[in-house]
Amino acid sequence: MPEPEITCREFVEIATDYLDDALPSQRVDLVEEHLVLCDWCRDHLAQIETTIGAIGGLAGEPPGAAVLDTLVGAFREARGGAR
Amino acid sequence: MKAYKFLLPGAVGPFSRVVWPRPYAGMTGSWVAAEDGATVLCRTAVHACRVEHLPWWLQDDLWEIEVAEPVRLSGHKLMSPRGRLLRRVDAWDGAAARAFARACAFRAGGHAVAALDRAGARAAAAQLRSCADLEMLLSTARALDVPEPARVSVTMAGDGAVRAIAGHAATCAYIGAHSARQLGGDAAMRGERAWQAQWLAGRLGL
Repeated sequence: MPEPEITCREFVEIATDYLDDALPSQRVDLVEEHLVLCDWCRDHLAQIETTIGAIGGLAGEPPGAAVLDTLVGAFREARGGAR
Repeated sequence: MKAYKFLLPGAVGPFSRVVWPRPYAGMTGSWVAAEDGATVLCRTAVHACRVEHLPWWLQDDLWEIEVAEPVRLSGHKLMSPRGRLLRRVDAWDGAAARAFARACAFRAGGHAVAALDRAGARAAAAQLRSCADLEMLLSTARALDVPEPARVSVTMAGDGAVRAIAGHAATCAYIGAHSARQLGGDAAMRGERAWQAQWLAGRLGL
């Protein structure tokens, strides 16, 4: 039976779940085994942590009406056209 | 029970970022617990490993640790409600890490030689076998005319040499294990990990 392990691609998909402690413990073990040997994925994780830290320091100002309109329009378009 | 734990310099847990209390003046370090009741808190469990699982967890510093019962084996790690540092394994240093990386890279080179032999590329196998240092292993692996059945093995040998030159012991161990699997399947991979653990135990006197 093959040794279970995760790839870089899989890690990228679950990196935020790992940071949120949202993975089952066996999955966490595999993530951490991977991080020991993969400096690229360690860098990726550090970048996410840096981004979270930077965004967390921003003031919580709500977006203006024009920005909201643009975003809502973009989401509607992405979901199949204006309704 | 006695077990082992790799930490970052300063006795810092590589994932939990817990700073472990170090032994001082002949006394063991204070207990670190996974639950309430201790001065230092770890995440969900105190993690450590057996000698046979050292190759999966290599970091800068290796510590001998006492873990309290009940101890549970999960994959390649031990999980315990609490643990304390007993002593740093001084034999695990930069020189040992580089020597281990080199040994793993040459094991990958050996697997590549076997793959070339198996593919009938005797001259290429002899060239790779004659490599005496990592730079030569790397340049030879990159320059060889390799038949397709041996291509992955030879590529791994070159990658192992690259990582060993850079001093990445854990990556070299991983490449060594996978190069064994490439040649001999899952049993060979397990055998390679066992060889790595024996190498570490011998070098470190564990």
